[in-house]
Amino acid sequence: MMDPFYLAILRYRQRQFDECITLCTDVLRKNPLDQAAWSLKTRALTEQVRVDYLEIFEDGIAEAVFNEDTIATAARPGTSLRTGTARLSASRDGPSPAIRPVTQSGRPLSGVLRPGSSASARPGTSLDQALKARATTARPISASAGRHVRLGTASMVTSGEGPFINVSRLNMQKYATHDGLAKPLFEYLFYLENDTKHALELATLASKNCSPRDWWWQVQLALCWLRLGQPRNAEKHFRMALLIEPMLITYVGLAKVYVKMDQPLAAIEVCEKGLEKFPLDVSLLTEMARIQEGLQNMSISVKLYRDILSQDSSNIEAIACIGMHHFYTDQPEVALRFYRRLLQMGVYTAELFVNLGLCCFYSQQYDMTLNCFQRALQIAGNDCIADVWYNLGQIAMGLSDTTWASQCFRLAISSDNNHAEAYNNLGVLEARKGRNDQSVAFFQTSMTLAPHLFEPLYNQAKIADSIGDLQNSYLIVQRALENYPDHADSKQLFDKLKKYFETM
Amino acid sequence: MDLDSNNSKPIETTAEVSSTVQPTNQTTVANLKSHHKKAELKHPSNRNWLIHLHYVRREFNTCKQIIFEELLRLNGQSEYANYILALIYRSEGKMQESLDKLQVCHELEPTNANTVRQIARSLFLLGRHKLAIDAYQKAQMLNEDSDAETHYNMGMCFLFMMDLDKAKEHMNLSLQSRVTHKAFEAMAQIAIAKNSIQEAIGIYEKAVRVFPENAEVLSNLGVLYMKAGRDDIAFSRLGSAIAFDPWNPKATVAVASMLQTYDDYDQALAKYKVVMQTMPDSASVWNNVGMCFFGKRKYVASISCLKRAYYLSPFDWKILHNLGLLHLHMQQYASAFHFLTASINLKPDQSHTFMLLAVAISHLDDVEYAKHAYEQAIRLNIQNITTDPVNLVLNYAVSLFNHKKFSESHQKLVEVYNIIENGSGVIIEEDSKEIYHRVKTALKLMEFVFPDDNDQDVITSGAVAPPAATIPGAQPRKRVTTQQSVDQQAIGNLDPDLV
Repeated sequence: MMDPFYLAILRYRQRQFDECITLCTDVLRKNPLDQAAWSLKTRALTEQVRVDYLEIFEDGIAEAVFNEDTIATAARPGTSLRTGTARLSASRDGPSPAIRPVTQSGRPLSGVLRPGSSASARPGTSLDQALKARATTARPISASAGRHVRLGTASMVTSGEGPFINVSRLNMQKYATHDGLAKPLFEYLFYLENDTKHALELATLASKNCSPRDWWWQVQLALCWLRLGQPRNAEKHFRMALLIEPMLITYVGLAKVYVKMDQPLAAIEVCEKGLEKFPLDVSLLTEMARIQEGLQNMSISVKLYRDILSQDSSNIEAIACIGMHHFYTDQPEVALRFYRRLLQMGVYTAELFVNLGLCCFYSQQYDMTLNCFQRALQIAGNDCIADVWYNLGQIAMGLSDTTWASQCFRLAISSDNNHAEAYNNLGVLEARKGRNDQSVAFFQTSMTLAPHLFEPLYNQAKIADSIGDLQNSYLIVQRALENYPDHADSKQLFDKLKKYFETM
Repeated sequence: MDLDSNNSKPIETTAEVSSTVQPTNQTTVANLKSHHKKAELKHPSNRNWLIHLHYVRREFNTCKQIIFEELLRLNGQSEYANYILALIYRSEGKMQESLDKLQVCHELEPTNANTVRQIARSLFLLGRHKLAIDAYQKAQMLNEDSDAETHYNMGMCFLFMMDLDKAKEHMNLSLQSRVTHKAFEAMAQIAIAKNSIQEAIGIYEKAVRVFPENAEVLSNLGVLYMKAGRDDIAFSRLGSAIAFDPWNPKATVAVASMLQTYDDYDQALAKYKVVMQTMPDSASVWNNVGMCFFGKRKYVASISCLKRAYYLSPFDWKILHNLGLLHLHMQQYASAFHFLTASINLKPDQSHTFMLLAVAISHLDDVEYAKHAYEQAIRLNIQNITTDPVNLVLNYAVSLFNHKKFSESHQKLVEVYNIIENGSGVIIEEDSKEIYHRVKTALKLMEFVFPDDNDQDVITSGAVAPPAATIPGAQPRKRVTTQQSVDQQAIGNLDPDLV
């Protein structure tokens, strides 16, 4: 008969945590004071629910709107991820908003959905606007706190007979002195219980007790502060950890902290320092590429993503982002290669098929286009079916089949009533038929749903101008120019109207 | 004050205006402080100069502050302050407030024609053209001497109401009292709306004589000359427009597209580069750049430019037509077919597009449909000649020949011969001539008889190429390039989704 504890360790290594836990429970029933078994069980429980906290770390909607960590409210161009929607063409690198769509925060659309890639509201946006942000991994309203709580309750159920550790009765002082117990206990509190306050208490005590000082505790302290929404404290502890021993997670965490404080340049600097210690590390490169993308430095971002691919040739994020960059810079054939690679790697989502279909269409592989869209429609879930219909509408417009296009857009709207782009395109189709009233109604809907788009505004201003409603046209075209200051047609219209309003 | 409530007589004011403008018995701190200056403050208009100064400096915020102080002091009874406030509101786009203030002014001095004119203008900007015209008429009654501005604005109102004759009449009156280029431009606009380019050119010529340095007028005139086919004059007019305003996009695009029609592609590209600085997202410019590259035989660059144009403006049939043409050249017939059908969907009355479609279909080996397309192209060309009939029928003949329908091909070739013979002024391009002779020789070998058998340059039988493989589907030379007006609508962008 094999020693049950040895078996438990084996199962833990094999990542068969359920069996490991039952074995440990048996051992603990015989001897409740077996520290090794207790420690192992704690770790097994934690491993079941453990996620990379820094990767999913995301500002909740309330934090994004009522944010007070940023230093400058009106930052200079190129130094902030939140202010300044569309930059002037001189400082922009990559396609203009007329070519590549932008997200609500005015950043160019990214190749992958990740926390904060599309939702992050800029200060000054109202709460209901921020809540409307479409297509995030989590529904924006159940922000970070919601997810933690959910994971916590789920793990409780699996343990069956009430909590394994009664947190309120823990003697933190005692555990903190014992490193082998304190670390698993901390992770248990942090990841499974989501009891950040107690975790912080334990980490503070432990970091005081241990000598020589341990970078690990400093990092954990920083994570606790980050989760409590105190990036300044987190920064302090990350810095301290770096002094003790430079580690990868520390650099990544510090970069995240700076992004949260809206100091992208500082974050990039940290990543560069990290790259000196850990040359060509994928997670640091990814972090940098994301920030550069947010700063609209497309070519730098794509170069970084290429570096990632030379290290890890199956990095989904890098492939998707490069593919999208090629698509929007008039190279759909090249983009097609990247997306095909994703398909070969086993990514099987409606979004991918939509992208493949679009690339096929724009590189004239007509036979594949509709097949891809059919597949996409088959496997699309509720959250992206609207986008599939919308893009199919674009194909229909490409074939100049306006009836089909308008059917597609209507379907897109029926599955997602907040699809502003579809409303705008429906408006354009109506305007082509000469039905101005209806098209204005569509543009107005589109405008209220997505105040960051310039197309509906410009279209509406143009119609108002043509029917002689100069006053409205003047007001609306000004808003279009706010969203996209370089739009040549809007500028022309504005100059023309300005004459009417300022002459006697 | 609600505008609808008194829309028949917009000049009238209601009593509540003056009361809402401001609370009456309040003394401000400023007033208390300046007790000893009371003598100075007595005159109601003694700070008008200051208001004026700030207004002409466009310091609207300061100006408004002073105006509010003045209105408070004078109990809202200052005409000038109200007037300037109305103008500021107007330039901020707050039309209703502006109108309210103007009504107050009118109440204060009902005989002031200027106020009435401004009221009319506000109504005009709000799109209530009928009311605006009424107000202007009232202004004219108040002020006997006829004035250019009033007539011009009335003309504009009529123009928006599509009453062209009345608009023209008023523009003429306006020009009689004072010559402005705006009035000329409006007159030309009316002429163009009536579809008479010659008249518009005449009007612009007059305007140029008065305003020889106005780039806008010059460039409009140049474009009109281009439309009328007078390239030489157009070129000189556009040239002087650019001389006076080197950054004028309209003139630059027009000049570039003219250079392009005369095959000077490098110059044209240089011009387009300049224009790109000011309008980077213009589909027509991208289209023209694409066709420049096509002329230089740089097909890949050309396709990518045209595709961008197509992305920016998917409903422009010219771009689709050009893309179809280009893909024919690249021998990608299926793609060409798609672009051409899309173009036909948008604009079904172009015989040239149908001809290209027929060439594409013939290469896709469906001779019956190709014939249909050719027939349609010929039908459309009879109604409205846009394609060279020689090229059209010749292409038909070549396609039939390629599909071994020799007798039908022979018929068509005879038709080509008849066209050449009958139309004396028809200029036949060298390429077409050569193809004509090659097909003819090949058919002659099969003992078809031609009416022009005594033709000199009969190719010796040894030189006859084996037919089907070598004869290209005679490639049409015509291009659709120039399209000056840049008024396409922005379409929502593609949204390839996220992975």
